[in-house]
Amino acid sequence: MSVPNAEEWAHQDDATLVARARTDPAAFGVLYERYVQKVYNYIYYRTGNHEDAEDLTARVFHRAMAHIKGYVERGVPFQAWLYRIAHNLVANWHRDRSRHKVIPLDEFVAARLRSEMPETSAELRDEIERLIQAVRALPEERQQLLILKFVDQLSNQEIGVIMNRSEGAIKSLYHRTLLALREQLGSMAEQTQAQAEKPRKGKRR
Amino acid sequence: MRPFSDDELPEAPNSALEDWLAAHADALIRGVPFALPAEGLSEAERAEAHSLMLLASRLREGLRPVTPDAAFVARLRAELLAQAPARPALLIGWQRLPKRYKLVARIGGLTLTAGLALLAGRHVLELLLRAQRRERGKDPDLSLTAAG
Repeated sequence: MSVPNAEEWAHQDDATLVARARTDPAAFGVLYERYVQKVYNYIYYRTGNHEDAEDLTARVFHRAMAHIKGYVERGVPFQAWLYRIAHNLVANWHRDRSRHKVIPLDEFVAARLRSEMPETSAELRDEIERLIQAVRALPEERQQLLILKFVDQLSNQEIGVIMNRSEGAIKSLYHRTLLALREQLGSMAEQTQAQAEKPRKGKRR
Repeated sequence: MRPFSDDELPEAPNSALEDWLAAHADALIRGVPFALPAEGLSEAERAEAHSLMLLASRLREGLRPVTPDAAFVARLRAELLAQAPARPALLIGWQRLPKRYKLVARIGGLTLTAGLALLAGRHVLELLLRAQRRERGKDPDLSLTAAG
């Protein structure tokens, strides 16, 4: 039996790689490459900035590597295990931030839109910015669902495993999330309109 | 049993609409046109679905995946691999052996261990017998020089 090369590793499934990763760091390297971008994206959208996304992504993989020997699949595939580690770290991060309020998160998202989507019109950028703000105002679980679905492009089944729910429950949650998001956008639009009308009323007086 | 929260209702209130929205989201993510007939939906549900589908399309546009900095990805990979405990060369060699070689090596190892255990056992037995003989030699009832 020979040791697989990088290309052969890439074709191995997660379970095989996890088994090898317990004794061979090269196998963990393949798992890392397979999931680093997804985990990074998840954390980036949950934190809103690259610095914390890098810091937390590094912690996720360090933790996974440290505990890979003790990891037993038992219905939670490696991908879901990684997301659960990421979810817990992000939750702790939010808890710490709520204790020491520092910088408004959406500033970062707005900056990203300006720098990474220069081809879009200012109007569209504003619309996307409002949308992201509305997403961030949703309860944590609904934000998680939208990020896993639209950013990390996971199936309902995969999301169900990560969030510990059935596929049907995920579909149902998605429906309710869209309804809540529409409502949130509506109330944001009303607020913006009310703010725009204030100066006009002031001038009339 | 704890009550279900709003997001945990076991029965979907409108499963046809939910299935429809889920299929639409899947099509959006895959970048393929959505062509599921809305047969199970009422007129009101169709209007509702249309509004929510527009919102989902905006989400698809707004929640774009980002690419982490390549230097960060490479640095973290190097850190992780450097952090991994180095395995002894003998262990690596063992893991790389074909299964049948491992089996032969295990049988050989067991035979050797059993042989060593037998030798050690024999040695211990001899020592015990010698000690027992010595004890008998000291017994006054059995001594030839004992006074009668």
